[in-house]
Amino acid sequence: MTAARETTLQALDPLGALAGRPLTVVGAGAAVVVALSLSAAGSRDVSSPLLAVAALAVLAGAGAMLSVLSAAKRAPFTRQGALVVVAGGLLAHILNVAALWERNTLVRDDWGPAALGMLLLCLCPYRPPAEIARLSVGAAAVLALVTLLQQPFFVTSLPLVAYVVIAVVPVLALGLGGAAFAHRVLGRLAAWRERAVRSSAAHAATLQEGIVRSVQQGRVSILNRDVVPFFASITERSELTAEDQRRASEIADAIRSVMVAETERTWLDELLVPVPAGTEQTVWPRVVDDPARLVDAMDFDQRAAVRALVGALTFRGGLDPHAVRALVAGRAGTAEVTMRIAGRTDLEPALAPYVAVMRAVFAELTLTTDPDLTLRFTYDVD
Amino acid sequence: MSLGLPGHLAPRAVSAGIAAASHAIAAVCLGATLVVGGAQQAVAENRAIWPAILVVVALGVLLAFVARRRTVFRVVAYLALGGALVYLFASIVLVQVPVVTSSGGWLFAMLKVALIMVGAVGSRVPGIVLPAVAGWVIGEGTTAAAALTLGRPVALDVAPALALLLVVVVGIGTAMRRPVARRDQPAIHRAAMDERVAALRAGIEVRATALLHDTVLNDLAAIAADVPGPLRPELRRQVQADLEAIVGQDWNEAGVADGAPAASGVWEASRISQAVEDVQGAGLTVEVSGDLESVAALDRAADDALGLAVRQLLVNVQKHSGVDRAEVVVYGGGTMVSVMVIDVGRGFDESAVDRDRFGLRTSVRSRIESVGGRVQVWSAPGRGTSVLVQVPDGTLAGATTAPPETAGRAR
Repeated sequence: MTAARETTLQALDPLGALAGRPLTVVGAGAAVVVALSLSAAGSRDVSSPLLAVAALAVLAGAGAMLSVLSAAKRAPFTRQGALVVVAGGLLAHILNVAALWERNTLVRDDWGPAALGMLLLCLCPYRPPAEIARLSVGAAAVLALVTLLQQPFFVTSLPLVAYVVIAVVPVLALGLGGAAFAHRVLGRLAAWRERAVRSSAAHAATLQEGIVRSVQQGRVSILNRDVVPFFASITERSELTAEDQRRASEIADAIRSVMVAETERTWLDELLVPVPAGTEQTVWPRVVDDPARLVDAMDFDQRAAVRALVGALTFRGGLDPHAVRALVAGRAGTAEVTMRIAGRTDLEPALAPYVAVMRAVFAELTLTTDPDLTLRFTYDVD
Repeated sequence: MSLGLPGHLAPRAVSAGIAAASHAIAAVCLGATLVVGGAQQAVAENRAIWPAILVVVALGVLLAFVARRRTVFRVVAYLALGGALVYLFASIVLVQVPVVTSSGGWLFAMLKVALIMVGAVGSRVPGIVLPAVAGWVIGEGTTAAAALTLGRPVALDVAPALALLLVVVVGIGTAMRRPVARRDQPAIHRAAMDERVAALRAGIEVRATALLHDTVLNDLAAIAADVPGPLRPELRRQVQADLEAIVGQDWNEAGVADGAPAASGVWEASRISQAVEDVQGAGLTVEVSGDLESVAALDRAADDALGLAVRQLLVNVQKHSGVDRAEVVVYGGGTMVSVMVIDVGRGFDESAVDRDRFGLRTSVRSRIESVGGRVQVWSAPGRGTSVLVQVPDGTLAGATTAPPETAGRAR
């Protein structure tokens, strides 16, 4: 089964994260704008213009990194990514402090803490709340240290602890604010999920009787053709002939071949090329190549995400599901599915939300459009 | 199921999230004010800064009050009483702390931000933006009033303005993007529901296939293997009983459905005991041992699955092992009931079994997996066969059916 997904909004509410992404870009941009404005306002304090420019460049780099990594097609946003962004923000602050060395008389005019706080806040849809809180506290500790180093240059008679608090407040406030946002929304999500699982299980149970009937009808309609008349004829005659025995083997073989065909079809075959109940057909178009039946190892969310994607292809894209080809290959505990849709690269934009959901539930996913629309994704198998 | 918030809940969840973030920011600001105020009091013992610290504590209590439940009344109370407290705070600090000379001091900025971060009411944009705007106006207004009263200059602060801008941008931004986020959410939840139904159907199909195997295919095999002549009464009875079970009976009552309560409760009434009796009637000697009463804990689906699986295993012994004796050992423990079916016959290589032989695959393995159990086979040509069948007992709620959220689908 697939490893547990991280408790991030991006993983558990992929469409929310997808829609919120422009705010992330705006936030990253805002961090840079704040830095530029405060730099311009305090330019006469600068002792090294080169370092000041470098600080702004590093911050811009960290903001750009945040914008790029938060793109839906790069999901999931990893812990390493978050560390790089925060480290970039810290480095920018340190360079800025160096640029103002000996002339930074008022900590509250520094842009570093505010910019870093914005970056931490923008991480909230992508990383677990506890991790954002830890990163905020860690970043605040570094800021405190850097502030202590500047002590000799402070002019006002404030106690040293006040300088430290002033420096760390933006980072702690915005970082912990982001963590609180993610924590609260994830809590709502978990509560809803619990209710939804219960009510949809109850709903499925109400459907069970009907499903059992339709399955029975399908099976019985086959039996009624051959088996029932055959058994009736034998019990009526109370006698077995060699012809009866030949016929028994023949019917058994026919039933077996239908059973073989059925058991060799996976749920993905059934999804792409549904077969009406009660059919005696034993040959269907093979659109899924999965000799080891690895699609059975997908978990519920993964199967639901694939089902939603196929639904979008057929209903929204007007696609004939026969046009989809799926190849499933396994190696070392991982299965890789390759779904290819010939000549329909125009579908890509409409699929974006579904692909975002798939990225949240599958380990690796790539989407290429040259020349066919090809989706590759992997998941763990037992 | 974790494929995202449904459209009707998302705005409320986001608004609650914005409120939680606001309150966290406000708490940090108040905490910072306490620390800095305390530090200043510590270095200036002859000044009375501590009343201002008490004011901040009172504001903290108000914040806890509004964070506990977001109602219009509580938000208005926070802003009104908070405004009065900020005025008091500013009046004390402007007199007692010499470095603070105008309404634009850092300490004031912290309290202004705490007022702006009052949190959202409801899930619409005005409910998110208006309380923050009110907080900003009240914060700047009360500090300016305190400064004017004391004849000090009034100065607007940058940090509270930025805090307000943040709330406004986030509130409007999330609302604007909401339709984009939620347009496809219903399709995704529908797919999840379809998947649940498909999983349910697949499980029922497995049990239907197993039922057909146990009845029709076994009967056809018995007819093909019999000697021509008058129909043996046992075979006739068997064929008629099976026809009745397949065609004449509602499968909802034939153990094809999930979750029916246990029909037995004691060994003699259990399906596994019936299976042993049936096969003994057909000429196989079966020795039963172990903790027979542990089957009492099984619910009906598990009892049926176990009974039919054991019947098929015993039929396999009779058909394929070359011996006329088998041993069935039953034991409970933990949350599972385990049954071991053992023979000392000729054994087999499971991987070499033809793909159209369904006995072990469908009647045993798929059927047991469909109720959340597992099957292990130990066999080799010439060394006999042991099959361990384990099913969850009824002590775990719902454990007899593998929950579709976690289980790979058995086929």
